[in-house]
Amino acid sequence: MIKNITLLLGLLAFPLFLLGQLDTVITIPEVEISAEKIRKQPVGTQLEKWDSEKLNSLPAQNIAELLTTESGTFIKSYGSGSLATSSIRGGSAGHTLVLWNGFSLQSPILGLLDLSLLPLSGSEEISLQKGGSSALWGSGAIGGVIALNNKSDFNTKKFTNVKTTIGSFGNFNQEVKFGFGNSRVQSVTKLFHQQGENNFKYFVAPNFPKREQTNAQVSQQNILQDFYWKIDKKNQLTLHFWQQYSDRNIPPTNVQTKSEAHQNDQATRIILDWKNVNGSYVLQGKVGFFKEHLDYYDDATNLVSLSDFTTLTSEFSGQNFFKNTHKLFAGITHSFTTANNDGYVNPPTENRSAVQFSYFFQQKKYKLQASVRQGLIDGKLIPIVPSLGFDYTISPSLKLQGKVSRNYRVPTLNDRFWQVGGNENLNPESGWSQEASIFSQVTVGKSSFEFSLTGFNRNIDQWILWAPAEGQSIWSAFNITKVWSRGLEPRFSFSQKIETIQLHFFTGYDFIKSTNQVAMDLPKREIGQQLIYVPTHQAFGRVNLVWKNVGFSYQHSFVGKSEGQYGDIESYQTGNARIQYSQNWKTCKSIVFFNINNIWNTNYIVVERRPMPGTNYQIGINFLFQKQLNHVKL
Amino acid sequence: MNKIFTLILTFFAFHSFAQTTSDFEEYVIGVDSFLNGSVGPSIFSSGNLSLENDYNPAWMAWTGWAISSGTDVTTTEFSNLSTINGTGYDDSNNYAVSFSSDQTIMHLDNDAAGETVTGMYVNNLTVAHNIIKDGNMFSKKFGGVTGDDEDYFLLTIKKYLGGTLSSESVEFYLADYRFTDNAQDYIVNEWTWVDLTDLGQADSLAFTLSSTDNGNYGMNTPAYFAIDNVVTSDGVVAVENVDATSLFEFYPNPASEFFVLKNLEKENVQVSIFDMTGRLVYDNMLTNDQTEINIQHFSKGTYMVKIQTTTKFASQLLIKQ
Repeated sequence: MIKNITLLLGLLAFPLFLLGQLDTVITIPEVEISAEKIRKQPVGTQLEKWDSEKLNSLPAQNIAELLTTESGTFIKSYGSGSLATSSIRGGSAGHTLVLWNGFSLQSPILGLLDLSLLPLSGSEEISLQKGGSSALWGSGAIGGVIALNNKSDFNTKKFTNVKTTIGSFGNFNQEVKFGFGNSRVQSVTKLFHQQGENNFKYFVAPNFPKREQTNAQVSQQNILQDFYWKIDKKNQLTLHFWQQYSDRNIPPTNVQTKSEAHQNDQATRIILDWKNVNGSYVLQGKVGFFKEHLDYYDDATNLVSLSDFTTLTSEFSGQNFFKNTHKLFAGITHSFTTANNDGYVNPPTENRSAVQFSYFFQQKKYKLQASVRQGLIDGKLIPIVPSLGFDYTISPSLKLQGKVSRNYRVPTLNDRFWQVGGNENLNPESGWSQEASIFSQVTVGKSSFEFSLTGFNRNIDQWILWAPAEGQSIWSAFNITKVWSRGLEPRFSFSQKIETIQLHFFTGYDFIKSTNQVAMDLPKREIGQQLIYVPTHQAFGRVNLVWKNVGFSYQHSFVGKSEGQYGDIESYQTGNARIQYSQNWKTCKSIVFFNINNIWNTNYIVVERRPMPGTNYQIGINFLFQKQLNHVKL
Repeated sequence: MNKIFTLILTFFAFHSFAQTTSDFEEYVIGVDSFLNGSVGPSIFSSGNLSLENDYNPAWMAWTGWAISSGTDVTTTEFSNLSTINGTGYDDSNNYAVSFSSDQTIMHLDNDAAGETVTGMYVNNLTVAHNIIKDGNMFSKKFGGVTGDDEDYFLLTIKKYLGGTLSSESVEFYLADYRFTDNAQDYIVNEWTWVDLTDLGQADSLAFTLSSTDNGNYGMNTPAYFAIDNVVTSDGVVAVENVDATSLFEFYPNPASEFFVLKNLEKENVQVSIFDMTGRLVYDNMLTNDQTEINIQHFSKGTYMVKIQTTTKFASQLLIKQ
C-alpha cells in the first residue's frame, strides 16, 4: 500500500510523466479512474497541464492570465477585471471550449465564457489542449479545449490553505481552502473573495496628462464544495458544487467621457458523478445542473438587460480496455437548456443530444485514436464529426504526432432567437482540421533540451456572422462566410541543474494566418483578409530559476500587429516578473511572493479603446497545512 | 445697398414662385410622442412632401422617417426621438426624424415635383448629440482621447431628377471637430437653416449620413437627424407684382423687436422675409387680418418683406434697428 502511495505521489509531482504512463497507473486503486480518461488524453495533439502545486507558484490570478503568461495564448482582454476571451489558433471566442469536470461552461446565450471570471484556485488541475476535438467534446472544441478538473486525494487527512494577495489599484484577493477525510470520503471546501478598484492611470498622448480609469470596480465571490465518496471497491460518487457572484462596473472606453454601466454575473453549478469500476470495465454516469444570470445595467441610458439560462445535462459512458492495448469508449449525452433574455419574444428551449464512440490502440511505438460523434440539436442532425489521431515514437528522443478531425460549433441562442435578426434555422459552423507535430528531446549531462514544431490547417465553413439582409437595414445572423486558418507553432525548452540552482527556459512562437474567404460589404470583409483581433505573429519566453527556497521567474511576451474594428492595433511587448520565498516545515509550507506585472510599463491595448494598466504590483502570502494519512510527508 | 435690393426685386418680378412650407404639424400626436410606423400611416405627407417609413412589426423596428414631438433633451437612448433642444423649429410641436444606415428619401409631390427645394431647418437628436459629445461603449466622443481627432458628422443631400442621382450635393455638418482650435469644434444643437437652392430642380432628395467614427460594422455615430419647415417651391405661377400698399401695410418701420403686419386681402397670404443676401429668414402662412411678427432674433440691417397671394405679390423694405 505504502509503495503504491509513494508511487502515486511521485507521479503527481511529475504530471508530464504521469501523462505518458497513465495506462500502467490505472491498475493502482488510489488513482482516479474515469470512463473519460480516453477523452482527457487525446492522441495526436498537444496538451499543456498545470496542477495545484504549479498553479500556486504562478503570478496569474485567473485562467485568462494563466493562458496569456504561461502558454502564449492570445487573450482578448478588455482591461483589468474586464471581459477576457481567448482566440486559439485564429479561432473566435466561441471556438474555445471551456470544460468544468467534463461539462461545458460556455453560455448557450452568447456561446462564450468570460475567462476573467474563472479563479485559478478553483480546480486542482487545469489543462489546455490546442486543436479541434469536437469528436470527443462536441460543440465549440475547434481552436482548443480548456479543462478545469476538480480531483480528490484520498490520502489527505486534513488540509488548510490560506492565500492573501494585495495589489495595486485596490486589488485584494483572499482564498481559503480546507478539506478533510479518509481513504473513503473526502470533502474539499474553497472560499474566494476578490475585489479591486482598477483605477489605474493610463497614457493618452505625449504631453497630455494621464487619465485615470473610472467605474472599474470589481468584486467577486466563489464558493466551491467537492465531496468524494468511495461507496465500495467498485463505486465512487462525486459531487461538485460551485456558486459564483460577480459584481463589476464597466469602465468607459478611452473615447468615452464616463460610464455608469455595471454587470452582475451569478452562477450555480452542480455536477453529480457516479463511477463503477468492474474489472476491465468502467461505467460512468453524470448529471449537471447549471443556472446562470448575466444582468447588465447602464444607468446613463436607463438600460436594463437581464438574461439567464438553466441547463440540465446528463451523460452516460462506458469504457472497456483489454491489456491496455485496446480501449473502447462509448458515450451518450443529452442536455436541455431554457433561457430568458430581453431579446427573446418567447423564452427558447434547446435540446442537444449526441452519441459518440472512441477507439484507442497502443503498441510499443504507436498510439492511435479514432473517434466519431453524431449530434442532434432540437431534433435536427448536425454534421457527423470523426477524428483520427496518432502518436509515433521513432526513438526515445524523437516523436511524431498527427491528427485529422472534423469539428463544429452550434449557433448560440442569441444567433437563433434574438429579435431582431435571430435565425432559428442556422446551421452549425463546421469544417476539417489537420495538424502534425514533431518532438525531440535531448539530455546532455544535467542539461535537457526539448524542441517541438506543430503545423496546423483548418477550414471552417458556414461561419456565422450578423449582416444586413439583402435590401434591408436590419442585421440578421447568417451562415455567411468561410475562414481558413493555418499556422506554425515552434517551441523550445531548456532545463539545467547547476549545483543548487535549477534553471528552466521555455520559449515559443506562433505564426497564425486566419483569413476570411468570402468577400462581404457589411461587415466589411475581403477575401484573404486576416480576422480582426488575430495577430499573425506572437512570441513568448519564460525563465524560471529556483535556488534553495527562493524562486524567480520572468515572462516576456510579444504580440504582433493585428487589425481591429477601427484600424490597426499596434504590436506590443510586456514583461512580468515574480520572486517568491518558500519555507517548508513538517506539515506546513508557506510561500511569500511578489509580482511585478507589465514591468516595462508598456502603453498598450489588446482591444481598441480599452486601455491596459501600466506597471503594477502584487504581494502575498500563501500558507498551506496538510496532514496525510499513513503519516506520509508532504 | 439699394442697388442690391433693386436686383432682388427685379428677380422676384420675373421669377415669382409660390412656396409651401412643410412643418409636419398636421399630425396630431400631442407633446413628447412620435409616429414611427407601428401605428398610423407608413407615408407621412406634409405640404408637398411625402416621407416613407419602413416599419417591421415582427422586429418592432423602423427605418426611414418618423414624425416626432419629443421633448427629452437628456436621455441618450436610441428610442428617444427628441431633438437636442426638445422642440420643432420656432418652438413648434412636430418635426420629422430620419434614421437609416443607408439613405432616406424625401419625395416632392404635387406642384413641388420637379421644382427646386428652397431649404429646410436641420437639427441633431439628443441621442446623436450626446454620443458625439461623450461617446458610449460603441461610439467615440468626437475629438478622441486627446480632443484633437478631426472628427465630423456630415449630412449630404443629393437630388434625383428623372431617375438620376445628381453628382452635386449640399453638405451640412451636424458636428464638426476639424478645427485646429478645439474651442471652435461644435455639435449642432439648434435648428439651423440649410439652403438647398443650389441643387436646382428635383423629383426627390436623398439624404445620407457619414461620420469619422466607423468600424467594420458601419458607422458608430447614431444615424439620426431631424428636419422641419421644409420650404418647397411650387413652380412658376402667374402672379402679378403689385403696389405694396394695396396688399398690406406694416408698422413700425424701422422696428426693433416686432412689427405688426396688416393683411388687406380677404385670403390667406404667404409672408416671407429675406435678408440682404437673399436668404430666407422668415416664412409663414398668415390667416389673420393682423399679425405681430417677432424679429428680435434678426441681426440689425435691412430686410425685404414679401407678401404673396395666389395671384399677386408685393414687397417692401424693413429696417431692423
